[in-house]
Amino acid sequence: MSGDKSKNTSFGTKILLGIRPHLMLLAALFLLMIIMSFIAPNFLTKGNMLDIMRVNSIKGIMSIGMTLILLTGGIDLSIGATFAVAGAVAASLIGGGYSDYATSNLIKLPTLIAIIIALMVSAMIGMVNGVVITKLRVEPFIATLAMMTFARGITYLYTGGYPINFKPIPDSFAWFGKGYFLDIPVPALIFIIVVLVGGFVLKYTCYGRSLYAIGGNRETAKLSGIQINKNICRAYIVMAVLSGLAGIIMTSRVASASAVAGEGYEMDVIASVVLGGTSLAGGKGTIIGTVIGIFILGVIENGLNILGIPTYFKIIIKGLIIILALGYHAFSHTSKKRKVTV
Amino acid sequence: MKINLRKSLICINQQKLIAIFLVFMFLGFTLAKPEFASSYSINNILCTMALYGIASLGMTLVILTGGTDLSAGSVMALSGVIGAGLLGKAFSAANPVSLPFAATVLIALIFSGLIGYLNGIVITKLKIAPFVATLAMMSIARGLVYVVADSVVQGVSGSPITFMNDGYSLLGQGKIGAVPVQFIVYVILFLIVFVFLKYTRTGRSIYTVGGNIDTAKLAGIKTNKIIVLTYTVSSILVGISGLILVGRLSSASTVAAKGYELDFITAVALGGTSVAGGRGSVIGTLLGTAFLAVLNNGLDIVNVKSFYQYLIKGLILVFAVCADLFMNKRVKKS
Repeated sequence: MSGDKSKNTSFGTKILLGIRPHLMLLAALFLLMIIMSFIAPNFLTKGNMLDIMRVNSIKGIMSIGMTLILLTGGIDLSIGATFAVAGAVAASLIGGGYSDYATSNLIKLPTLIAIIIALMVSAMIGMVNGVVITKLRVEPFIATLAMMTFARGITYLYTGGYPINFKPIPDSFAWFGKGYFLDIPVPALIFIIVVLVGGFVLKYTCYGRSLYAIGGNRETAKLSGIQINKNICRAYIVMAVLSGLAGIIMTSRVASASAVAGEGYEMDVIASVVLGGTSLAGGKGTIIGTVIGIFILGVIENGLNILGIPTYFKIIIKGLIIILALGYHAFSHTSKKRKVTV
Repeated sequence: MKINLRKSLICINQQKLIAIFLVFMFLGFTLAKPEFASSYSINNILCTMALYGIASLGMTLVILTGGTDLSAGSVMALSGVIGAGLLGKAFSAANPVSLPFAATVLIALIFSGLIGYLNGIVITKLKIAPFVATLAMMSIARGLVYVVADSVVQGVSGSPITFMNDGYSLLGQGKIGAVPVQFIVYVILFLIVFVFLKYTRTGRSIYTVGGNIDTAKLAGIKTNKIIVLTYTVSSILVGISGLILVGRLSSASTVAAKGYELDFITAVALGGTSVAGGRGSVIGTLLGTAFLAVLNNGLDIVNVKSFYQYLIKGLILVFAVCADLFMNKRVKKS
């Protein structure tokens, strides 16, 4: 990372130092945006930029959680299912939520309480993930794969397979997905808050630093007195709450919750986090990188949409770009290493 | 000697555990619904085993090297649309190419192998983590499925390729005596992979690579070559599964086998193969596959609502994996 870290560096230099490892990615993002603005004239409009912000904030919120998980050397495949659970729970509890499946309409609560309950349900899913991984010592991949199936099943049972729609959607709830605060879409605002909090926690708190330590070398972390199990559990809970939050925002935005919501999101989220330089092996990664990763994929997606490229070419291009970007990253790193060793 | 024997008896490993589960499950389902043990139902189980099993053999190889292959589902679909598309006998088709059955199989498998080869190259040369490399390939291969299908079938993008062909029907629906052809194919491939892993130098080096890649390198194993080979072979096996799926349905769908990669990984993990690599066997995978096939078929036959099936499968997966850990802990303590 950055070479000198004297105590009296100003805030501006600190930010610059933070961005330095991601210069290449950032340059790639800007290059992409410039190319897009030439190909599609309405790309660089305020409306489109806000749209990119809003669309990507949902997966963005989840990627911040995924960054924590990957830092510990784990992985969470259950986030798409958690996303659906939270969305369904919130939608069914909020006044106006209506489903053809009678049991979903039984209880109605004020919006805020409904959201809190949905987040608590997500937290429980995360806690179970954490306990299964730390206490039963099941590999995160398998444990969360099982949870993915399980939580999806819970959503089907809870909703009876029927979508929950709103007749009509209360303003207090619609605000989360469709509202604006000072001209900024609310989902984007929530994303920015999550990013700032996430960045602060990872960089400046004991908990955040311990995640790096756990992912870097678990034995060393244990010997230096870090409570590994507790910290890993917390990471999975945070991850689940954030995916629940994303699910609730999405439900508000499309005014509907469905049992199949968020399927495959885990893969997109992991791809963007890794694109942002976070290592799947753990111990290496930053929030800034993740944000850049999210926007690179988001800008590509948006640009291809504006150009009207068919879906299947879109997914081919997305896959190629992930390989190219990561390949370049790895390539430049190995050549640096060689220089040092020789 | 005596102690060893005792130890091996006490030490219930994952494979034995799954085998015991399997027997109990089979008995349980039969007691609940005698139809479960009918020849029709058994036939179904064997077909499911073959379909999932052949791809899981490939997945075992990949996981043994410490990697993973998330592109398996997409490769299955790709192999299917290429195989079916080249027949040139698709309904509402407009393509001038029309090849015999054997040629279509060969070309489909070559393309599957090519995807695997690319996976291997990306992982070894570009040094991208297998999870992400194959995730990207999952996307690319799925896109190619649409490209191929759209060039074969005119009309709405993403339409399935539906056709009639004796070769594919034999592969997907045929029987020799009472045994489905696809199961025979599975058994043959299983034996080949088993012998390859156990008795050949390359097979053994797959374990070494997965166990400790640095040691493997120092021991003079060409690790990159082994990894590329593994991914290629794995994708070819996955491609065979894809052709069987097409044969069974007489139709190649663009959304076929979506998410199957996770089922293959589940089968491999159930069989006691470590996701970290270097430890495991295809016998375990065979048991894991049989376990999933019996579970799926049984739950359907005893009429468990599909919503509950999700819960049961999730629970069983965790239970099966951590039961092994508990057993081993107890053995260690004693």
